[in-house]
Amino acid sequence: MSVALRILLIVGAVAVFAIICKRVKSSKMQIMDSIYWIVLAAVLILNAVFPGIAITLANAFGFISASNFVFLIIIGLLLVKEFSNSADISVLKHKVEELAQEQGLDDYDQAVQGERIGRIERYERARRGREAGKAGRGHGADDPMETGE
Amino acid sequence: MRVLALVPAFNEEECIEATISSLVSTCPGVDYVIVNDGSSDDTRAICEGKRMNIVSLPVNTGLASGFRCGMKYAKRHGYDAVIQFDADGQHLPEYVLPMVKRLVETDADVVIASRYLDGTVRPSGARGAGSRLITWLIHVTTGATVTDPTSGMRIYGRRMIDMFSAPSSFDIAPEPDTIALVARKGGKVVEMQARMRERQGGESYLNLVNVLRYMSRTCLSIILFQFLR
Repeated sequence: MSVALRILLIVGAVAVFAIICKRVKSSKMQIMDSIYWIVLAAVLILNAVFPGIAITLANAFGFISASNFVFLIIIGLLLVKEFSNSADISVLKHKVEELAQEQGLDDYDQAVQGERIGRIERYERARRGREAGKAGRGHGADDPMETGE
Repeated sequence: MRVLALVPAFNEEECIEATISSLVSTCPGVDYVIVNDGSSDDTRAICEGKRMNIVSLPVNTGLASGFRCGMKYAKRHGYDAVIQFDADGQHLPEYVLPMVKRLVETDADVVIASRYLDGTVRPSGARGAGSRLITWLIHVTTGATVTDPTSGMRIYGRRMIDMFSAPSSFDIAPEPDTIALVARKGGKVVEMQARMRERQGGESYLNLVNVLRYMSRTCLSIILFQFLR
């Protein structure tokens, strides 16, 4: 594994680390979601600092060069992440749909209830008006027959 | 027996009013609910203005989600059967009551309004081929014969209302793969002959990409995933 690749790995890892720290600090990523990237950065640094690990494993699996093995590890890690993202999005989609449905049904119930209360209020107003009229003091200002439905 | 016509609507301002008024006048004993799936046009304003019975979702979530919302409504309001009725005027209200009757008579879980049960030949080309493929897949995997699996006009009994409205139900859509699932799990799927119209307004979502997605999902679900559910 060339020195240049090792330096590149370290630079990449440090960059990943810095970006993640910034994101967590500015509340743009949850700590739970940062774990993957911190581990990824650690794996890159491990490979760069101890090339012996990659070289030994590459020989054991029959890779021509250790760098190919490092690339494979990175591709593998990315695939795992992509898969878990896909699964998470599925669950999130389901949750958003559920929430939208519940909100729609809640709004509906509230509108129906509001309408009912309105009807009761109109009825009460009309009833009070009628009683006032019967008492003989109704001045016809609000005719109960008009406020009723 | 309380029957609910579930009318999913996404951007159906052109024909929702005509659809609902013909439904109400043809089937006075049937309640309806429009589930407005976050339409960006005037669907909601028109329905509320005419004091129609409408549930509006705050965002667009797709037909399956809108349909499930309607099923939750049916469950919470104690309906015994739900008929899916398209807002675009393709479905004819004359068939609603016969379908209810058929559901009761046969004690079925689903009654499908089929355009091809009487031997009418399916359209040639991709549409007919897709329909035939789904019919064949359902037959091979479940033994049931469904001549018009893609018909959107279906009436669902109480067991299906429970299934669709259950909080645990994940990715259950009013599509052919659910029909296959029900048939395989021992549910009863019945068809009856019906006529349908061309859509009376609005836009079809059936462009090439969506058709491919729909067919891929349906086939994959019937061939593979129904056995895991």
